[in-house]
Amino acid sequence: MINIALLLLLTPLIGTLILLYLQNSSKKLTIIISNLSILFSFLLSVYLLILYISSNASTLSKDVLVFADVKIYSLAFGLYIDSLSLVMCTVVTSVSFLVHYYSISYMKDEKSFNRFFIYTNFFTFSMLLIVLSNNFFQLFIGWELVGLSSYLLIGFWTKKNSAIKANYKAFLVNRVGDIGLILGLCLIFISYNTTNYNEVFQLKDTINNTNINIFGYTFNTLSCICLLLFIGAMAKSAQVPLHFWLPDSMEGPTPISALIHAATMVTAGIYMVARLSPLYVLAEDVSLFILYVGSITAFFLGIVALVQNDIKRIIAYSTISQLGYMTAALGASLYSLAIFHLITHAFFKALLFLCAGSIIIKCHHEQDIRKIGGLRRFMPITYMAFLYASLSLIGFPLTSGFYSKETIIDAVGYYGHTIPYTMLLLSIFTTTLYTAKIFSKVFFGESTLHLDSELKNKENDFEMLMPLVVLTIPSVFLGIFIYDSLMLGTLFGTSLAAQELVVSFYNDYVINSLNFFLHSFLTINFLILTSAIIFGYFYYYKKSFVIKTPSFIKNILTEEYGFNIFSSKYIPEFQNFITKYLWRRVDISAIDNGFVNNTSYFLNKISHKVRKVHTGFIYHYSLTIISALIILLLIIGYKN
Amino acid sequence: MFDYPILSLLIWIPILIGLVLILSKNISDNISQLITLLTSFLILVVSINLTQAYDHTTSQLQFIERIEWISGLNIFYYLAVDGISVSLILLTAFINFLIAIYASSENYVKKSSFLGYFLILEGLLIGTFSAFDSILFYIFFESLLIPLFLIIGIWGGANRKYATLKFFLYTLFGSVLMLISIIYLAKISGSFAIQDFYSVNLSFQEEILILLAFLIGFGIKIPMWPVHTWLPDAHVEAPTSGSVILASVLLKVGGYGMIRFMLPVTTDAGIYLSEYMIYLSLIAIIYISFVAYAQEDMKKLIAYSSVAHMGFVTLGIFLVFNLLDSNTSAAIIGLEGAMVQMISHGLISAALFFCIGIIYKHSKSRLLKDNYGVSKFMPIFSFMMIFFLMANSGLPGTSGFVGEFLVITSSLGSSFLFGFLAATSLLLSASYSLKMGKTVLFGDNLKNIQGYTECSFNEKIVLTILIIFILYLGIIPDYLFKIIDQSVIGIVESLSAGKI
Repeated sequence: MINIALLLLLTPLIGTLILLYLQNSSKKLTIIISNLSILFSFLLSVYLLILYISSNASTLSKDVLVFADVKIYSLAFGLYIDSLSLVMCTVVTSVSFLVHYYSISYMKDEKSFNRFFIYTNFFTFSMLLIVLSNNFFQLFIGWELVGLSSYLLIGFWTKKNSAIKANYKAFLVNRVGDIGLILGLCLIFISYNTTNYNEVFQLKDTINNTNINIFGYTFNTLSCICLLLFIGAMAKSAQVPLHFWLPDSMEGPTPISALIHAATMVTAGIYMVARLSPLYVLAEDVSLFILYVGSITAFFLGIVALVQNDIKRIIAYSTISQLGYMTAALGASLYSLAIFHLITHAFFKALLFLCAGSIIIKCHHEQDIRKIGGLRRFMPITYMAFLYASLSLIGFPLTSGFYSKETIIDAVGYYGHTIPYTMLLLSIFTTTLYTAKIFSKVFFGESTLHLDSELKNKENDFEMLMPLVVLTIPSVFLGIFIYDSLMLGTLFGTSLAAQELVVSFYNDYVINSLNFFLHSFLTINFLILTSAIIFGYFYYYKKSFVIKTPSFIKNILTEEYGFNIFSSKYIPEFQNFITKYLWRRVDISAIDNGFVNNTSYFLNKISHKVRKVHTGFIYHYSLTIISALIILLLIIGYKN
Repeated sequence: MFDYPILSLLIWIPILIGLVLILSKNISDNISQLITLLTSFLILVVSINLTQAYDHTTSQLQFIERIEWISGLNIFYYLAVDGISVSLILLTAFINFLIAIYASSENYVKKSSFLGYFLILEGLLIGTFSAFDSILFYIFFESLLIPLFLIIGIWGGANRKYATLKFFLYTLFGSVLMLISIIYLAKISGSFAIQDFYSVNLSFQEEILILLAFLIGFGIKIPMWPVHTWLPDAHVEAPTSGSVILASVLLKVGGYGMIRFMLPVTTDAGIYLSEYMIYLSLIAIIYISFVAYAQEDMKKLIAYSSVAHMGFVTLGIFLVFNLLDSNTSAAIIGLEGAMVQMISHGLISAALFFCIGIIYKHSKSRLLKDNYGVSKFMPIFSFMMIFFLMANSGLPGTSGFVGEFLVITSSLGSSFLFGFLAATSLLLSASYSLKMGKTVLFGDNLKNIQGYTECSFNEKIVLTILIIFILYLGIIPDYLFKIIDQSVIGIVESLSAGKI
């Protein structure tokens, strides 16, 4: 099994290397190699998953490559195989394959077609590196490598200045999180001399009973490690206050937004916390913090989506908000629910982005939804796919999104976290509203673009439509299909801690998937949902009434509560000021001119003075010698 | 083991051939190129042999050559290596070979002397890393200045007079203090052998003074904050190959000296002063990163970045003092981190200076604002340069990460504050490295007034070799660890056994 997993991990890397070698080869070859390698990887992970579940195998953890093995410590790359990592592999490779396939058509006019596929293949490899990792060290490496791929892909259009700005910002914000992550990793390594998950899990009680001194205060080591690692997750999974890189990352090509900035990379933080759930479940204070971070993100960033007009930015804010739901589930120790929402979200959000890409291509890279309109007539397949994805996103009963999201909301409420519950509940309203906004503006109404003659060519080509159709299936049906086994813990088995919380919620509240569906019509969730749909219908579609938002609220929202101006103005200005100040005042003025050059100036002056003594006249010298002699003799005589 | 004096050969063959190249008048450029390439290749092969023959299961000195030199003063011609020397000798030979490849496609006036000075420099560097008699070490250490002084002074940029003078006086000032303490130590111990210094009995005041002398002497070489200001000027004026050898090997002499002299000789004083020295290193990491961000000249930016990266080396070394009492394994991790960081920085900074040289050749300007949109005309080169910039910012999978990771780990063993401050480098190094990539490589460039064209075959070869080794050390650095491990453990254990 390890060998198959290794092959699954390495196939995308081998694809990358071959593509690198064949830099200037034909597009056809690039397409074949990149797509086949991912497809192969996908088939392997499906095979492994089936093999693993059917054989009831136990968790497998094995080191495969030695990084450093010396006297006092050893570090290695290894694989960790259990149902969690295999399910995650399947999600990653399946979305990745569909996005690759989609990109064949989306990127067909690009000059650097090959480069795109090199990056995406490499991304898939790095993501699998995280997912299959059996130690913290490899986790960090994969973590940084997905950051690198994201950096390269956001800035794929190197001539576009906004893209170059966005990828710089994305990388740096992620680096802020990485400081937390590396501190957590190093703290584990230095304290317990291992980075292996299993070994650390075995030590969890010891860790929980030790304290660490930070800036003079004493903290519990386990909480400290969990918090530091979570800071990394906050940056990667775009949680407040490290979320502001994600909307800008939409400058990259749309398939990338679907693959990296919606379905897979941004969920790495969620996956990490779930993977380390045996530690997080013990750190109750950190869990509470995570719960609040998640629900604040879900609620407040969802509202921001309402004032955006760029189709991709709206979906990006929606992604942040949905990631907030997952984080909240992690904070409530409902790890399997977080992973469940991660999986369904990966599919329906990738679908939404790919639909958006399909729309953008049709409208010649116009992304402003105020200008796009009436596409329902021209793009029936995209329209249907977008409709299903939207229903799943807003949690319409029976869709995948319904099962994953409503369960999180109800379970958080069930366990008595009232404030987070309220925020998550209210976000249903905003989610529905911004979805209705895109939907009514893009597919109904009239277009202000003059593309009618071209638009009548109807839909995009097969490469772009196939993934839409395929993704619709899991977006709608996956939820009901795996719901019961996931809730009862048979799917993830012992991979996730605190499964009993989910199980008791299930037995007590859900009973079974059908009952949950029927019961949902009586809940407040459904009331909010339907009221939002009705409101959206009259406000955006019928335009029966106009609400004037007070301008200050609108300003706050368009400025994203100040994060926008903070990140694009204050931080760079402060950085420019402080760096210039240090360089000119301290380095040049104080050290170089003040210390170094003044020393030489001083020596120069003295030597000029001294030089005057060397007149070259023999009588000056003889006078000096004689007078010195006399003085010396006088001193000696005086002493005697 | 070899039946010939391998270390002497490694030192004197390049020096002799270099002298021949400088002194012979009518030697054509092609022949001098060929001779240089062959010599540096030979030295590389021999030093690889040396590395393979080196027994890394022990911390004993190996390949010892010990001949009486000045009998009255008890000075020996004493050469030997341990794991630390071996890895640095290999780095020296490797970088010089790359310089030989790179320089053979360049045009210089009096090319044969130019190449000759580099060969001399190579021999002297290997001598510095393998001398175990302090006077011999001092002679090699000081003579290093001469070829570099001439390389910058003859083939340098417009402001080279100021830069060379500053460079020379700065480093000379430090080494005079070092000479005084070496003589003082020899006077007490009665021998100039470095190892005899280790068992010398010093009063605490003496030890503090000697430590400060070493700190200033080697600190200027490395360079540490606040005695770093010679480095950016020297880099800016130096020709590309000069910058490469300066950044990638010459700076390491400082770190090597600290490990060889400061750690074992002045342990007690070091333990006493360790916190202050750690703060100096942290200032180098954080403050210099800020200064690097403000730079407008690419070479200055990378020069400051070198200072910041060498801050990790000094941090790793000084952490040994700090952790000796409490946590020996963390001390070992720190010192290994410092060693790996030295080797890795040798490769990465060399690569970046090559890259800047290539850009400069086209645009005739090193300023950030004069260079933009390179990626449009030099796609392969830009790909490589982004790789090196990423490595410079400590991306995992490249060697830049390994050293930083180990040093951060070790500093967390001492205190959370140190670890946190060191870890901020993750953000800061990315901010200045990628700023350079952002402004120089990306963006649109419609007219190409700079005349960028894809880099030549030789340049591609050099950069590709560097990429391979940076990746190798980033993914499977086990071999490097094996070489240095026993020596590092030997040093740390002898410190904790001998002094406390």
